[in-house]
Amino acid sequence: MEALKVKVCVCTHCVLKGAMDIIESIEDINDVKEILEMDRYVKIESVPSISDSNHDAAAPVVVVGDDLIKNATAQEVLEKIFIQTNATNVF
Amino acid sequence: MSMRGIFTPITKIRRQVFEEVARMAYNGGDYAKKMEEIPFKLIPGEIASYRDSVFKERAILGERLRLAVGLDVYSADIPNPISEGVSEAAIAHKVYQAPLINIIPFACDACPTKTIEVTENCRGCMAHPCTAVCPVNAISIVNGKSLIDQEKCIKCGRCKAACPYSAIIQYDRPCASACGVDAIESDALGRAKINYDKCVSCGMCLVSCPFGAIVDKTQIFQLIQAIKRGDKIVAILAPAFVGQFGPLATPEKLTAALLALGFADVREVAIGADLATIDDAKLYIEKIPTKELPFLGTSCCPSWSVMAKTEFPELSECISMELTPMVATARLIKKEDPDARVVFIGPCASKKLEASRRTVRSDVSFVITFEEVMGMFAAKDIEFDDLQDTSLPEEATSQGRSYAVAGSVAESIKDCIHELDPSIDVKIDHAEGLRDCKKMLKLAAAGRRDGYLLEGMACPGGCVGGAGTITQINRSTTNVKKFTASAKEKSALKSEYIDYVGKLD
Repeated sequence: MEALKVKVCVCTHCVLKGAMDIIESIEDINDVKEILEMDRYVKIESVPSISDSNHDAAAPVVVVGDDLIKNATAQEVLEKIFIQTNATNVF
Repeated sequence: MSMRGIFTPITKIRRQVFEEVARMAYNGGDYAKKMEEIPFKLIPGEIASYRDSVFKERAILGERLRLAVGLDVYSADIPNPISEGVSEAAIAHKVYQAPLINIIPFACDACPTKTIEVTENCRGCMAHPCTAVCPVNAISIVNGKSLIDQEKCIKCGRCKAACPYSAIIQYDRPCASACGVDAIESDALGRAKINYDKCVSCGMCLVSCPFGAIVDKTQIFQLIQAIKRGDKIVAILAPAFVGQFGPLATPEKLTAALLALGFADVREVAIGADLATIDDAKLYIEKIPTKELPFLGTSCCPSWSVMAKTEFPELSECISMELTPMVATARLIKKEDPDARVVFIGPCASKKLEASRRTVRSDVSFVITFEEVMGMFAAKDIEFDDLQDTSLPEEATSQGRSYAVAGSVAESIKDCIHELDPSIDVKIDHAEGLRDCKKMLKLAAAGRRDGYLLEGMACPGGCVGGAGTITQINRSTTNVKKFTASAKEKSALKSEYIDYVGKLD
């Protein structure tokens, strides 16, 4: 199955509001793929912009698959990843 | 210290304050009115997010704003508005007056100080080794369980180590625990209070407080007034800068971004670090093999050098008095252009204090941290990706660039010594965090570091772990090492500024 794409915006506003810390929290997610029975790998990309808008109020912005998350937190991003990869034993 | 590298609501508020103050400064206008509005912009609505009430949240944010524009904290019983003094502070020079690191008393949760306690895990065992190991007989058995008499307890921790059930815990207030010089005391209400006779402004308490009650003053407001006035300001970047602003901020994009903010030029502090390497190498060769000094301590971390001279006055002479990289760079730039003003952009709070010392005050006009300048980029909506690459002059060597990582300062100086005189045997040691720095100096005072070059860093990992950094220490260390390796010249002795050695005093 094709990997789940997670895009983290690293524009100025998003980095200021914690984008790098989110990346740090999720970049080792594939280490738990087997134990959580995720149905595919996760591919994390840092991108210069998402949906072309000024992210001042919405930072940090993350896209998990097709889901756009504004004011993202690491917990929320992980939750969405687990839902979209049908991970078990998580909630 | 375990909170480092984790983005919390406190990190968010701190950075929002920097961004709003920068925006307010660039836009100008009625500063008092704008300042009063910022807490309502950042904390909208009527429901509290983090604390007892939305009023308290705004009041604390108000104090953060005062500190961010360089004013003093107001305690909760002062009737003045938070904006009092902001118009007078809108000048193109530092308004800074001590203290640099401040506790906002009403934000402090008055966390319990160092305590050792028996928890519910205690099984009232037959052995009760806790009672046997206590040197002051502070533990008794009450209702079948161990109980520590807090009046007698000397907090040595032996009972905790002896308990087979891990039933005895030790905790401390995070600020005091992070402070390497034991400068945190308590006020009459049990809230944390900084003893400024001991504090060396390293900023470790600031990043450790889980209630965001400790904040340092910034110079953003005054720096932007200077930019708006048209001053020619040169930004000098501390070696820890690499990768701090995210993956889009390559050195070339970062240079362009700084010029877009209004700076006239951008240089690396590594060029000054090259000169400092040569200075310290020569000093070592002059004083150590002859045993004129028992050991040599580095000078570049101001918190370390102030702590060393204050707590070990008998060792003062052994701490290098050579120019720090920041000052050497500033002086070099002033020699090239006497009209230029210099702003040091670095990883920490400590350098703010160093730049205010009488001997260097006229050379470094402002000090701001990476977090603070990132707030300026955000306020001006500057996107690295939208800018054209502007090259940073290729003038620093590997040795100067390496300074940001703990251990590398000593390595660079040692390599330089060997280039100047291969016959000399150089032993090095280094410490991270002021507590470990003190231990290292105790060994030195006892004569167990004779012949050594000692590097002291107040922050974990070295400068990359400073209180004003944005990126995690591990990632930063990797970035700095890569940038260090990419320098055209490897040795400080190949620096194009070598003729300035000894001429910048």
